[in-house]
Amino acid sequence: MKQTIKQAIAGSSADYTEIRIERRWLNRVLFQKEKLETLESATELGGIVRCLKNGGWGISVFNDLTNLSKHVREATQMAAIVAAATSEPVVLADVPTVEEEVRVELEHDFRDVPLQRKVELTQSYNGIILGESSEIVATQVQYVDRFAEITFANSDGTYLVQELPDITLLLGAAASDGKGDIQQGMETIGQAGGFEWVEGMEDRAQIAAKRAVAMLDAKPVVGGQHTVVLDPMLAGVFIHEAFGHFCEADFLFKNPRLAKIMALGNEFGMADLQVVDEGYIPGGRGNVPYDDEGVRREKTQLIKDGHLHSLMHSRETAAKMGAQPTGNARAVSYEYEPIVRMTNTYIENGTFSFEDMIKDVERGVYAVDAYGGQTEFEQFSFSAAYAYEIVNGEVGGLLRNVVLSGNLFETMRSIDAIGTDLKISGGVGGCGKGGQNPLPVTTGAPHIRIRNVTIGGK
Amino acid sequence: MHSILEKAQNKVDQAEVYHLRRKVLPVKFDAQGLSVIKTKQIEGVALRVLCKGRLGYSTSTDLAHPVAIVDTAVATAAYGDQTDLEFPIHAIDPIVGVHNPETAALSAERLVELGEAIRERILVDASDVEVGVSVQTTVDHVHIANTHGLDAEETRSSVNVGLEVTRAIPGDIFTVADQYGARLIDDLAIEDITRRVLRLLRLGEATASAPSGSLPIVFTSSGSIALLLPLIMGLNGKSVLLGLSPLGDKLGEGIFDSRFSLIDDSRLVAGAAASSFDDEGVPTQRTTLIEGGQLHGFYYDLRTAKQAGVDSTGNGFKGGIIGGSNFRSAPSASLSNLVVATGDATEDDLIRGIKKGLLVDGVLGLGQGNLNAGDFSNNVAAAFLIEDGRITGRVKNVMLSGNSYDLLRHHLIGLGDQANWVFGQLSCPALAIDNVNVAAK
Repeated sequence: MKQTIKQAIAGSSADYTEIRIERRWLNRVLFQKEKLETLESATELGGIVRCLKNGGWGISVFNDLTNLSKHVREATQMAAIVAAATSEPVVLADVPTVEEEVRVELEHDFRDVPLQRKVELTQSYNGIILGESSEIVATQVQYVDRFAEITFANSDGTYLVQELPDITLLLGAAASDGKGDIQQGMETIGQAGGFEWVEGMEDRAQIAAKRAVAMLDAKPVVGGQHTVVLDPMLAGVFIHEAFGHFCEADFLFKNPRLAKIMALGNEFGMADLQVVDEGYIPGGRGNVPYDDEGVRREKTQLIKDGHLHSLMHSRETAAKMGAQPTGNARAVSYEYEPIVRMTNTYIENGTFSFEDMIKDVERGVYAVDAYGGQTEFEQFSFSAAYAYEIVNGEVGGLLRNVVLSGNLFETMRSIDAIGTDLKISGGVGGCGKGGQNPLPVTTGAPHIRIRNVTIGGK
Repeated sequence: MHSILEKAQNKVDQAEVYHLRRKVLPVKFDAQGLSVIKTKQIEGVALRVLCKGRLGYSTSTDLAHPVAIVDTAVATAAYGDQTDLEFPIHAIDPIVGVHNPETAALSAERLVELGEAIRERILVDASDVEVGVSVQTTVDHVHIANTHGLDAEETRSSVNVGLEVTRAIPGDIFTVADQYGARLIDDLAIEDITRRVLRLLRLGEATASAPSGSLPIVFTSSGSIALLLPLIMGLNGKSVLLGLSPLGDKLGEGIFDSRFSLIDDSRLVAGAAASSFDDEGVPTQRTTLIEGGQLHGFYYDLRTAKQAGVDSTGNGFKGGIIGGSNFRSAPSASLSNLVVATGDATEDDLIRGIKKGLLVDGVLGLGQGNLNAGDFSNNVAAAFLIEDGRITGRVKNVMLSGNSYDLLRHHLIGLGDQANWVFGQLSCPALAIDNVNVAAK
């Protein structure tokens, strides 16, 4: 393969040529109620060629690997059409060339685990949830393992082979009061690791089931402005979704007006606020030793002492903005070109204990974990998986229907307490951008407190 | 693919092969102009097998190794779900117009020309915006064969335009997105594609402060998805089987305002999901879900239908609840083209009838709230204040919430007389609804 790839690149008439070939394996087990809803095994083999000719990009994606040179020619042709129409030729920032094989060693490699064991383990968690209470009416228990071997080469001379493992477990329960009210409880585990990460999760299954039942008695939140304490999971999702995407330079460098708002040095929050994106943390789902342009991982300080410190870059955005590439050019698969993406993104620890954070809150909301969210520029909207009321400085009863929304910049400035209990989670899904979904990432934070958050409801 | 079927035949009781060959040609423009052109040729297979009553499934793009594909599927069937599923064999009535060779043959240069014209048209009226445009042709060749003798194939082609226009000033960013699809490029008129975006940009120039409370809302065709999403879930035969749908025991009952009707129709070529057969080889049909406010039926794939003791409605599609077919995911009950019946008021009539309320064209955070129970809760992406029947400015930081089952039963003010296709697969008029909870900051 190495020879074929190198020859195809050598024969290219483009100014820059890269080829990425991916082999991917996936196993998925899904139980819903008593039923094994899905059991599947998939293998993928495919490639992408990206060429730069006279400053224009052309791309060719394919499953048939028999004629790489043909795809190099196709991509070059498309690049020439783009170059003829463009007034802003693309330039790539220089990076060191690398030749390396990054193999992974897993403690208990899930590729060696028989399918039967995966089915039985998933089924046992499903059984725990179903058996928890007669009010449990549905379950969603899903095990997924993925393994990718990615070969990357470019005309600068880089040649890389990397392995990326990914394992996730979703433990979902739905409970009903028998009168039409249905509530959910969900626990997730996601790791760039081995099978040991999904074993021994009986207690988590039970927690998911108990929460679904408990939520039946949760009070609907009263809509309006609230002081909100976010748990590490929800705070992590917030910092990734609402803020992190703004630090992706490809989003900014084509939007000059937005770039002004996101100028380095601008103040975004309290002096205690530190936000980073880090290409490697042990077992992090967002880990990429090298990104999909062959650039080595970095730890990028996005916010330092409350001020915007640095953005995330690809080679193209770095050249455009006079910065260094940060190893954030990622593609969700061979069907896509790399774009600027996050890896493991988190708020660093501050100084507040959880008790100190809530002790002065007369009435507020403690919002935990996220069921989903959406942002459109500075507008964001997130659903807490569940929440508690805070009354006179203490955590009270369960609340439901807690959907937080607001303006990112105002909300960041309204963070007035950052905890000391940083926790980073992988979840089971991933990040979506530009039609590329789901890209494995992790997000994290300590507990944080935000003033004046809008919560929907009656 | 027949070699896969042959190799499977000896090892299993039943087998079904789904083969997809997809050619996509997207050209993309960003604020600076043409940014990238991509050619994409994807080919993959999915194999479903039944061995001793157990279901197995594998997918692959490595077509050079059919034996591996068969062996993987057989291996999963050893532990797979016990089912009495039968792969179908029905005559298929092809729909006309779902493929045009001239669409498949469109050159990158021709797509660039259309994209450039759209960009320029927007910039003539609104010079202070960033315009992103994508123009893309898609040609899918789908081939399904099973061991009962089914052997069906169809080519489907379309040309699609995506638009995203942003006006950003410090402290305020306003984005309007839209998409259009057609079977022929000549059916994509530049004026039609740009009209809605330009109207919204004009309406959005002034801002207004939003009221809070229980208010009437006019949802445009694209805003209506917030209301319809809980229904899309509740009408799914699978939700009914799982006991998650509140509609399970309401067949034949009047559950909505009598002016509200809903149909799923795979056979409408104007819809992006048009097909002669679904991803299980079942002939597609027009399925009435709600008629005159009465619950008429649910939509089913083969497996769910079998469990429920009914026939598949030809809604076994790959790729999630609203389709978006690829070869990888197993078929499940999914909508094709969803059509909401029109009413007799114009959108302007509906707006004129409101003293104080909102016009909502788009929401954020779709899928939030307890959808199974019918609850939705969304921030608005594009919404406007209506005062005394007139639009007086754009509002921001507004949360909408309510229960779709309640609102469409008791609080439907009226339906627009004109349906628009939105998201490719939903044809819907404007919907005016009273008593929606509005929380403004």
